[in-house]
Amino acid sequence: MSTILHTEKLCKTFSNGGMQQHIIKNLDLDIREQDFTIIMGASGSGKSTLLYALSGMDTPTLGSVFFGEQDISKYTNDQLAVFRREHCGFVFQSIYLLKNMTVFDNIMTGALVKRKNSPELVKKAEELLQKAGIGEKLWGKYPNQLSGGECQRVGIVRAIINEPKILFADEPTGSLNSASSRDVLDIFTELNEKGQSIVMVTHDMKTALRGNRVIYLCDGSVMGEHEMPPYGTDDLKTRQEGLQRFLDGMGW
Amino acid sequence: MQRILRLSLANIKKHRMQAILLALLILCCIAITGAALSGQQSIRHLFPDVVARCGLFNNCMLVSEKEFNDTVLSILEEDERVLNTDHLEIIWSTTTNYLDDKGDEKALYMGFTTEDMAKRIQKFAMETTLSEAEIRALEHPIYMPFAVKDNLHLKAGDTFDMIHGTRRFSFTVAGFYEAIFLSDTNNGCQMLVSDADYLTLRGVLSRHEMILYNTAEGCDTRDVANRFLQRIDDVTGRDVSTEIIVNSYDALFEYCTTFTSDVTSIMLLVAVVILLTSGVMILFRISGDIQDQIQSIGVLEALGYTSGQITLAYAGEYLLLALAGVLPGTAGAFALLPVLFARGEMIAGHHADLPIIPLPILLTASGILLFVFAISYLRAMAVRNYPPVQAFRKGIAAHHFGKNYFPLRKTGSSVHLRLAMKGFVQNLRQSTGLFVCVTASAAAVVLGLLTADTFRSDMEVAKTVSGAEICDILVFVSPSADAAELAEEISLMPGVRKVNACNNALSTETVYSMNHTARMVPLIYDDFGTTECILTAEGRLPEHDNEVVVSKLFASDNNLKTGGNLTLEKNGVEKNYIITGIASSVTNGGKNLCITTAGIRRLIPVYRHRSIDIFLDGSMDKQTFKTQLLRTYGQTISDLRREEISGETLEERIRSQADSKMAELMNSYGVTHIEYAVQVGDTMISGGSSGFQISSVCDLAEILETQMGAVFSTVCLAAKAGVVVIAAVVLIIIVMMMEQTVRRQRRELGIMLGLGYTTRELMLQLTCRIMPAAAAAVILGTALGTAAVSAVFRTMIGTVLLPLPLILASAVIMTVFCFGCAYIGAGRIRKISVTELMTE
Repeated sequence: MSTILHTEKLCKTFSNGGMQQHIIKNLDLDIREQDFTIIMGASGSGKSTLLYALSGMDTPTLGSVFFGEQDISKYTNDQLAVFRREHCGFVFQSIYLLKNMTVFDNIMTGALVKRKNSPELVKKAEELLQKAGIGEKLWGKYPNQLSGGECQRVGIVRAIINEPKILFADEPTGSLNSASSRDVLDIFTELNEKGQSIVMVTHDMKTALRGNRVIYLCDGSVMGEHEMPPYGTDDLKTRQEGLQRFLDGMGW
Repeated sequence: MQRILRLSLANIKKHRMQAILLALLILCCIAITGAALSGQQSIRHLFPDVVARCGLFNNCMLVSEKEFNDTVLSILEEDERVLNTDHLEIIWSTTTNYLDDKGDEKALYMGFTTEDMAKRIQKFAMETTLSEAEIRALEHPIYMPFAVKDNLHLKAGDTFDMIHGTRRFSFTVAGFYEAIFLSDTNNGCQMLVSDADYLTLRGVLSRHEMILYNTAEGCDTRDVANRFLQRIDDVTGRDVSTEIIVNSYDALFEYCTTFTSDVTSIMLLVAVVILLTSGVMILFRISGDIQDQIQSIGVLEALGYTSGQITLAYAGEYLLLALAGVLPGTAGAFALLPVLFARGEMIAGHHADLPIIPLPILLTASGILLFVFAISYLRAMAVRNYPPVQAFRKGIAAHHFGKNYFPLRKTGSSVHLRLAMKGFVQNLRQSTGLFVCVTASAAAVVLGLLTADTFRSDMEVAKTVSGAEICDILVFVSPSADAAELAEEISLMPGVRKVNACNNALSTETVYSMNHTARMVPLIYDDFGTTECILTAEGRLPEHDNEVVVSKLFASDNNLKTGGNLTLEKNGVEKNYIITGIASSVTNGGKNLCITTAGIRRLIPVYRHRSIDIFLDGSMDKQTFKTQLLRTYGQTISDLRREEISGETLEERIRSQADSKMAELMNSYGVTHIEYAVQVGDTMISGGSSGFQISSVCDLAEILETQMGAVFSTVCLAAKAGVVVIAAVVLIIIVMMMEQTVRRQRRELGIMLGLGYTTRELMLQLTCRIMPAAAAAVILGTALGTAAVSAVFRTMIGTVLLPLPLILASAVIMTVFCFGCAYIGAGRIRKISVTELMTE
């Protein structure tokens, strides 16, 4: 599998009251196409910061992030916005649906940023919503009228409607109950089975099991990596034990 | 109280830029309102102060030499309100010009007297930068009223060239003085010259008797003058009063205050717009802040703060902002006063130590403080609607359940426009506030622009509302000349576009109407279809001999209407006329009367035109044409009066002397025809006045410009300044509104940025969101402003001459300006970091 993203000596430093905090330190990392990459680590290890740097949501302090041959760390804010709309999809723990828009408009807001409206696009949005278990009667509702799980599924549909080359997810199940979490993770798994590259940050082992590559961060550096077969192609218990051993080894 | 103050200060600190802008608006409002109200009061002291310092008499009138006699004086003294009188000779002319700094001739009415004679008129305090020795060394010294110094920008030591006909009299400015009468460029200026120069000018210019008189304190000096004029006509049985120019105390007082009032009215209009918009902004900001800080409100309430205290904290925030604006605003008002005084003094032609009256400024500051506190407190009372639990949950109002307007599935060509329209309907409250502010601002801008256009320096608009035919050259023909015949000849001269033999508004011909109570100045033309500047507000100009048109002012004063009748009287003959229309007229106090030549001959069978309007085609300048005209038709009677006796032979010298004498008789005594025969030995030399064609030549546009230039430039400047201030206010309001919107919707905007919308696209969306309200407001404001100007024009002038291209251009520019301001304000989006939003 080819590399879709890679970083070279990536550094991210935050200044706070004159104090400098080095969150990511000289990180060299490859993200492979069609992988379901899981980023784990203790709180403050730089997981989310790395995700934002990889996705063009934020610019690194030093070093580079390459998308193919393009160094996106040199992009302006507006170039990064175009990069995000063309190539990336995002799913967040806080979901971030637009509260003043209906479910369907939330999806279309994501879709129309990339392409012009068409009956095909509308049909595609409807199909994706149906597939994500969001029935037609919910399409005209506002986010505050939906449950957390429903909102997150809407968020996933909004993230994938533009068929992004890479889907970023920052603890997408963090605020969901176990049943909703399972539904959401099933969607991710299904997407990955169809070839969708996914980079997901989580600190939940059950979520991490869905990935085929786990990267463990500690103090802004990669401490270790663990490879697994695609989810559903091996014995779950063995998979779980293997991951547990890896994480134990990382001091998790 | 301390806790409340701390909360208010914290709020101000949090939104520093908006706080500064709001304080700036309050500052402007106080400065402009305070200065306007205080200035209005102060300027009323100008003329009384001048009279108190320099006055020996508080009224005067100029009577032409031929009409003055003891009877005139006794008629004035008959009035028990007249306390004492004096009279002296003065030279006075309305056909004098001066050379400006470019060497062009400009019209200016001038009077001349000597310093010794003038001491009988008033007390003097000369102002000069020259030493006594320097003044003594001057060959032709001249002292001028302050009005000349201010309006013609002269200083001591400068050369002043007075032109009369083809003759030039050069003086050196020795200094300036405070003149009570004849002290402005409108009514004319009284110059002080040496005894020798006075004698020279005495033979050239018209001589008048200046009657000075004091009236009892508090009496209506206009009424004294009117009664005198009426009596003098009754006693003499002739129309003598046209030969008398009255300068009553009340009229001079009003002249000193009128135009300052116009300027302060413009200032007050601007201030009202600022106050209104500031009020709307405060209302909008508080409701936004409450929604924004609803959770903090819940926390405060849970901590034990009462809703009353939180309300006070909000009101306190705006009170603090108002206080921040009050101090510099008050200082600004005091700083503006000298500027206002300087313009007021320039227009009035007087200098005085005007008192600075602080009370209106202090009252303005207090009133605005109270206004800000009251509206902010009333709006902040909405806090009471949120008990802690509801506030914690951000208030149900923050949730959306309503109808989904502009659904995105129906998006057309632009998602940005669709999202903007969506935002527009979801923020109707904000749009309403903006609509009110922009409507008021647009109306004020249109009002200002139209005022500035009307009072612009080239006076093109002024010409069309003057009510008189403002031609390029106005020729008064000699009594023996045939104006119609001369007009025909002049029309063949090169450079002439059109000529009209007529009786122009400057003529001294008058007729009576309204049972002898009103004296009208007839504008007499063979065919009004050939006139250019005389326009009717309603009806049409007269075509037949039984038709007249009166001015709007005269019609409204006397309740006359189109279709009504008017009886005119002249020398005991009375005729009825039908009023076919109402015309604009700001000249002759609105007493202009349009009547055809055939119409006036019903009343005055021997009537003949005395003047010719000449319009040039632009291929020749006025001065060149005037020179050619005089070369063709000889010098004017005015010139010939004091022409040096010239000629090589005895006959030539005798003829020159005779011409001069005839000119003197015709000019000073109204002689209409002279023939002479002189025998020298066997030689008989004969001649007559039939060779004199032109009595005098003048430039009406120049007169209008000299008389009204300072007033026009001041009003125009004030109107333009008003437009600039309002534009700045609109900028502030829209920028504040956009910043507030970005602040309130930073989460939504951050999500959009995350989805891949660029900052430019989001700025465009936010800008387009306000444009429906802004564009509609501009249209409504423009319509209201135009309607207001139309109403003022209709009431005051009678004619509505609105420059449609200017109105349309201003509407388009205002719309674009709103768009630009909104785009600039939306630039705050650049400060939103996506990651900051994600990690908050």
